[in-house]
Parts: sequence; C-alpha cells; structure tokens
Amino acid sequence: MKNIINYLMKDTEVLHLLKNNKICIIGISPEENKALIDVVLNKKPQLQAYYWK
Amino acid sequence: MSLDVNNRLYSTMVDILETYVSNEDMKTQLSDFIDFKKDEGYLFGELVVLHYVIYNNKIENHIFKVAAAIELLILSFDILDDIEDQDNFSPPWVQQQNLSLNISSYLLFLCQLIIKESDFKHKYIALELLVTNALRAIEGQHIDLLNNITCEDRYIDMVVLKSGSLTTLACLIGTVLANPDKATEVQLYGSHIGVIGQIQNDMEGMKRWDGKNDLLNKKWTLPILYLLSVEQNHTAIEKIQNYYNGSVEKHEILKLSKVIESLLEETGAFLYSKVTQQLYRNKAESSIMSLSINKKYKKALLKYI
Repeated sequence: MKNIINYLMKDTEVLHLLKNNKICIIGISPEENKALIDVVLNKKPQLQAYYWK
Repeated sequence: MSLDVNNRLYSTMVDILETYVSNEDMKTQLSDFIDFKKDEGYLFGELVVLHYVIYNNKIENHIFKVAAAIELLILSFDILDDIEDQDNFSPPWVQQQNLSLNISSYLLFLCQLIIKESDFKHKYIALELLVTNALRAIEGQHIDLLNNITCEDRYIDMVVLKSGSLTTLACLIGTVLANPDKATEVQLYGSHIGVIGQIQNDMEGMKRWDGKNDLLNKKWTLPILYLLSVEQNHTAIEKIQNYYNGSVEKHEILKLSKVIESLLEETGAFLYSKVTQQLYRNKAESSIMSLSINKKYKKALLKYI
C-alpha cells in the first residue's frame, strides 16, 4: 500500500478519480481500498487529539 | 461520555486518595497529578463504565470505584512513560522524578487492592485481566524504548502491545464485571481503539517542533517509517537518516522543519498514516456493529474510534 499511496500523491488525476468513486486500486485489498476512499472522501470526522503516550 | 461521568471519576479518585493514602505529601502530589489529567478527560475510566453499563443494562455506583482505579493505573503508566521517554516536561510528575516513581509503584498496587476489595462477583477475573494486559503493555513499552523498529509490521505489533493492551484492559474489565461471557467480542475492537489513538498521536507528533516531536526525539513512528522508506533521494531525507545514526545535529534538522513538513504531506506519509488508522477504524466499526447490544450503546462505542 505504501508504494500505491506514494504514487497517488504524484498523480492528481488518479486521486481525482478516486475522490469521485470512479476507480478502485488494484494491488491493495478491498479493506485497504475502502479505508483509502474513506480518507480521501473524508467520510469520518477526524479524531480529536488523543492523549496517548 | 458525559461530563458527569468524568466529574464522577474525578471525585471518586479524590475519595480514594482520602481513604487509602495516609502520607500527606504523597496525597498532595497525587492530587496534583489527578488535577493535571482532568482537562484531558478520563478515557479509560469512561470505557470501564460504558462497558459495564452495556452488559449490565444499568449503571451502579460501585463501578465508578473500579473505573477510578483503572484511571490510577493509567496515571502510573503515564508517570513511567514520561520519565522513561524524557520528552515531556509539562506534567507535574516530571518535577521530582524520584518521588513520582515511588508514587507510580504505589498506584500499581493500589488499583489492584481496590478491585480486590470490591464486591463484584467476577472481580478475580477482572484482576487477572488487569495483570495480563498491563504486562503486555509494559512489554510493548520496552520494545518502544529499545527504539530499533525499522519495519511497519513490527511497529504495529508494538502498538498493539503498548496501547492496544491498555484500551483492551479498560473495555474488558467493565465487561467481565457485568458478564464474563462477553469478553471475547469486546477484546478485538478494544485493542483497535488503542491502535487508532496511537496512530493519531504519531501524526500529532509530527505537526509540532517542540520537545515532543518524534523525529527530533529519533523515534520510529508510522509517518517516519513511511517517509524514510518511500523517499530516498532527497537531501532532507539523507539528513534525517544521518541524524538518526548520530552524524547530524538537531539544529540542522530544525532548520529543515518546513521542508520536512512539506515532505510528510507530499510523499503521502500523513495520508498513509490516516489510511492505516482508517483500516483499524473500519475493523472496529464492523466489530461494534455486529454486537448484540442496544443501538444507543453502539453509537456510544463508535465515538471512541
């Protein structure tokens, strides 16, 4: 998944397609695809600052 | 959870100090420590109370004492962590570290005594879970302190131990005191709550350039592991690698703070951390949604992920 995310950052067109739910990424699992799309679409509110050590 | 629960946990901890601690100086210091943590809220105590309510179907006063005991256990770990890491000098327990270490030892035993003295039917199951998960967290902390993790899988294993064990502990103790049969279904997402929180902390740790910045402290965290693995041919990355192996000084890294911040965004280090965090959030959500519990409790649990 590392390489794919690194690649995505360099290809705004792919990122745009991902944002519009037009594509899924081959080479990562369906779970990773879902998580990636969730984050790109900012579906979930970001956590408030935690206080972990 | 409501402010009421947090206030109640606070006042229960104060009552515990009055009841158990006879040395006035120790009592005063502990009181300062508890006050210091009040603004953060008592996440672990909340998880104990929430899980007890979920599986007992009603709230009972005596769960607050156990939840407060778990918060005191977490306080003892916070004290140890800050003294071991030497990266956070704002808490009151870093002022007189010899005394704080002694207080931390005291809390480790006090929390167990409180559970043992409670009148819960399954208190010994809870005690065993406390000890086994606390030991796992300490092993995770040991691996973290060794600071020689260079691959992501081992990093996640360490986080599961260090942070996941503590959230598991809180969720499980509330659960087993109400119904030990439900422990298995809680265990998995309990750990995920800790992993999600730790990854958040890793990201926060790269957005500041004070003493708590993980890179300045030469710590290996998820965004740092990613950054150093995907971007090899950049002068700033070379500097970071040399900083980690001791041939570059901190002030040289500080000069590059803006460049490093940009690299974290541009290379996808933050995106990768967020996606990894989201993976755990989705797993936790799926576990929570599959529980046979009231909808309002599912909603309450989802707030922690």
